[in-house]
Amino acid sequence: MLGVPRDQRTESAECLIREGDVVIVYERHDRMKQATVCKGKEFQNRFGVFPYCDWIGKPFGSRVVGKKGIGFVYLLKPTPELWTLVLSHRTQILYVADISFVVGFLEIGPGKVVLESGTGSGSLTTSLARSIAPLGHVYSFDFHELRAEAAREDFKRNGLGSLVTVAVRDIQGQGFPEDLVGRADAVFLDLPQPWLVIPHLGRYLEGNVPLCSFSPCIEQVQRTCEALTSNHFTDIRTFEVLLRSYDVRTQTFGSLSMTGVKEEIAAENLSQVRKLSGQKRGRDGLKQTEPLVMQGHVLTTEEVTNGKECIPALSSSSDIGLSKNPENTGVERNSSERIVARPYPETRGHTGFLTFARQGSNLN
Amino acid sequence: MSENSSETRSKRHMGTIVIEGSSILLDINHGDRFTFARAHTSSMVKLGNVKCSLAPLIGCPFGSIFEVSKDPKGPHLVQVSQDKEIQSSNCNKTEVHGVEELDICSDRDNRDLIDDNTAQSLSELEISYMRRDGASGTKIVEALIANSASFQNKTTLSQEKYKRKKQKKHAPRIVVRCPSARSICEAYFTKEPSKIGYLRMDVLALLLSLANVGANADVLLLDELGGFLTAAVGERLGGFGTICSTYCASKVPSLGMLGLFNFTPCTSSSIFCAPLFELIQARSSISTAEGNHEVSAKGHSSTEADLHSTVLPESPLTALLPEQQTKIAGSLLDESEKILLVKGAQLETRMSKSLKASLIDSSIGFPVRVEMAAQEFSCSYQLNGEIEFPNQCTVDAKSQLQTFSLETDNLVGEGSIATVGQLDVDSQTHQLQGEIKNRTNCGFKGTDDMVHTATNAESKHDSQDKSLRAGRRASANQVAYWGRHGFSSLIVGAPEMDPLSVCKRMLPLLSPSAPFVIYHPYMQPLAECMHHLRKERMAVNLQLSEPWLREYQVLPSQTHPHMQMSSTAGFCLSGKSLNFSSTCFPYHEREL
Repeated sequence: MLGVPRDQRTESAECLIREGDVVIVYERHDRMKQATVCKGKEFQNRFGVFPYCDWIGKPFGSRVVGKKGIGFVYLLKPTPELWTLVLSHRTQILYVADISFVVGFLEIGPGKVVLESGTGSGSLTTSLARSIAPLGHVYSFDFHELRAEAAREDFKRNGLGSLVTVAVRDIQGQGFPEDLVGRADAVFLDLPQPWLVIPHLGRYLEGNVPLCSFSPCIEQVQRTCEALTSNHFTDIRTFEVLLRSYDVRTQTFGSLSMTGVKEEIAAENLSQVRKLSGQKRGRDGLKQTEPLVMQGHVLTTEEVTNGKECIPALSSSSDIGLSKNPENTGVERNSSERIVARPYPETRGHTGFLTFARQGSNLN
Repeated sequence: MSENSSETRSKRHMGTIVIEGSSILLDINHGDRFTFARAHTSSMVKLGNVKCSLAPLIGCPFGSIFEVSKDPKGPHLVQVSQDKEIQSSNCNKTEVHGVEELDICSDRDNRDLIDDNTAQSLSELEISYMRRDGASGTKIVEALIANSASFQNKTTLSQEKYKRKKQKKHAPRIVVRCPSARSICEAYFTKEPSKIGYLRMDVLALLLSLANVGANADVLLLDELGGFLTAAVGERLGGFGTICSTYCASKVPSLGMLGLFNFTPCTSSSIFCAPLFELIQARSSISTAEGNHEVSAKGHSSTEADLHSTVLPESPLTALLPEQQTKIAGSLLDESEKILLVKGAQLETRMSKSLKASLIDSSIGFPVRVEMAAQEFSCSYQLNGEIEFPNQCTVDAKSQLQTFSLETDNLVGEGSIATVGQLDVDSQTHQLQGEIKNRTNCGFKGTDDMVHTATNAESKHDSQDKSLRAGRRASANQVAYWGRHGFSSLIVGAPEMDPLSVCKRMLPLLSPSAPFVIYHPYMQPLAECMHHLRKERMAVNLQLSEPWLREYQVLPSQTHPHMQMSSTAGFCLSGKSLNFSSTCFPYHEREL
């Protein structure tokens, strides 16, 4: 997952898929899976069967076709962001919006020492490890033995083993280990009761060092902030961060450019439409008062002023604009597609609050 | 391991204390105002209506708090203890907390408040006398409270609020912060968001994550935000890896913001700049030399798509087919365009030299230099005047105009290399001059508010380690290396560029499966770009997203979102580049 130092790179070899590599298999924009390349085995999904030996030696970013030419997938190089989307959820995880904000706000860079509790599924830890590489270290703690072991295994597979130490420890009950006193450059807490550990944090944070606490509930945030204030932390700030994703597609829109009606007809229709729109307001299935007004408007501006266009005869005046069927209204399908974007109808509206603070720097 | 940790520890301490020559960010009243400065014993900073020496700051750890003391010696900065600060700035301390509980149901409210400005008996004049006699800000605040008829009738909450308000006015607190990408971003976003393209700190963080910026990365940037993105990437890489800030040949990039950071020589030396055409050439020439059919298809597609993108905004997928590639390989560029590129490059070097010279020196006499540079440009341009340029950009420019209805000013000279072709010399020169002025304003110097304390020491410092200077021109070897390996990520922050044209030119410069992210203040260009990339299978894992950030005030019984929040900070399009060859050929035709 990590970049290889230049002096250790062979000619573009780091981009070629090798035995044992973790690969992100991109099936569709919303479907990705992780796979470890293993000769003699196959990757199977609903699109096809893909022998791993076909992948070896191909560059990451390649498209591969399944057995008998059925199905295809793209093979991507893992990044912490992709990993977040494919990892196995052992707990609730943090997503890219929160992760990037935490890393950015805590100003985590190469060489830093970061304390994290708890490890959870390792979604954030992976990003922390990327940021502190190659000289820093992440000390991550979780009180769940099996979870810690599974996370350790993941970090190893992704080549982060030397950068992350996962230990089993109840941070809320026991605090961080003594040997880390004064060594941290940043602390991240994802605990149910962070206020229990905050009073003991001062010794671990040296200088104007930042910390972040993640809590889903505002009551937790409230107590956390009180604990931070009474323990002489400064710059206490709480944020909520979200990412809204957009669905991009092409769409054809009907346009109201009617052709073929003379001025008077248009004018007559317009008056009819206005009458009708008033009458029909209460009827079921015809709650179209607004479009009617719009159509009326279009009639006036386009047709009436632009008399040379011919509007095909309208069957009866009462049809105008009242039917949803575009053919009847003289609405023409505009053949040109437009590229449109709108947010996905449903989205995760809240993950948690991020509270940041700094250990106050003391007067000499 | 122990060696490593001691190394990291010493490294860590470098950034924790203000030393002579440090770039500092003064945070006034917790984010109300920001001022950039360089800490020298001799330098002064203007705070409100007084000027103070920065000498007391030197040797203090970042995060130290100061206030202005106005005793007879004249105004100067005095350090305030953390505890005092906590008591005055945070009102969610335990003793207040006890009162709060009662306060909600207290019978004090504003029913008797008459807002006729008579509550305060202390006059403006009396306050100014106090100040003249050397009363401290805290004293003034105390006097104001004592003389306020309505203070005692306020609820505890509004008493605190009143105190905070008066404190801010009469005894501003100044926190010395270490300029980091985050703090600089926040400062600019508060002060002058246009200078960083309205990039909010969460968006910046998102860009760095989505582009997988981490040790040993080779990051390619198109940074039209005054070098801010480049600097942020530099900070994140901390000297591990390389950064290349690219630009079109006719444009001089401003990397002025790099000067705001306290970079180690190691970090500075990892930041390069190189014109785009050089990178494209390196990428395609490498693949030709190797004679590898597959790679060459990939390499050439860049320049090929390049030309097509300007001629036909919707270049068909067939344009990338290898048969055509080989045919076109010989005539990758129009002769005229080649010349233009070369000339552009020469001009660019000259211009950037003179511009940089003017940046390094103090800002006095700087406009003259810029003008000289601009004249130089116009002269050389006239030499090439007879060359006929392909009239491609009209299409681009027009479509841009329709889509985002940008101001014409912005459009001119922004489109692409070929835009130059349409412009008459005068307007180009004029434009360029304006642009350069604008750009330099983005930088450290020249902005009135961002107090700059230029001294000779600084320019000396710069010239001393020229070989390590951040943003220096990349060597041919370096460029060739990038050409051979491809960049491992791409970040684009060019608010006035069409993202699709950028992608067509720049994605081929990436190694396959490399992440890229484009920041743009408008959504529609990104949506169109995303659609085309998807349709032409140039990238996968495409995501168009809009970041959203809300800050909360968390105080006992007073927790609520901040009144003011940023309603938009632009959009991000992210994705992963593909192995071009493999997307063009059907599976059975390839032999790998």
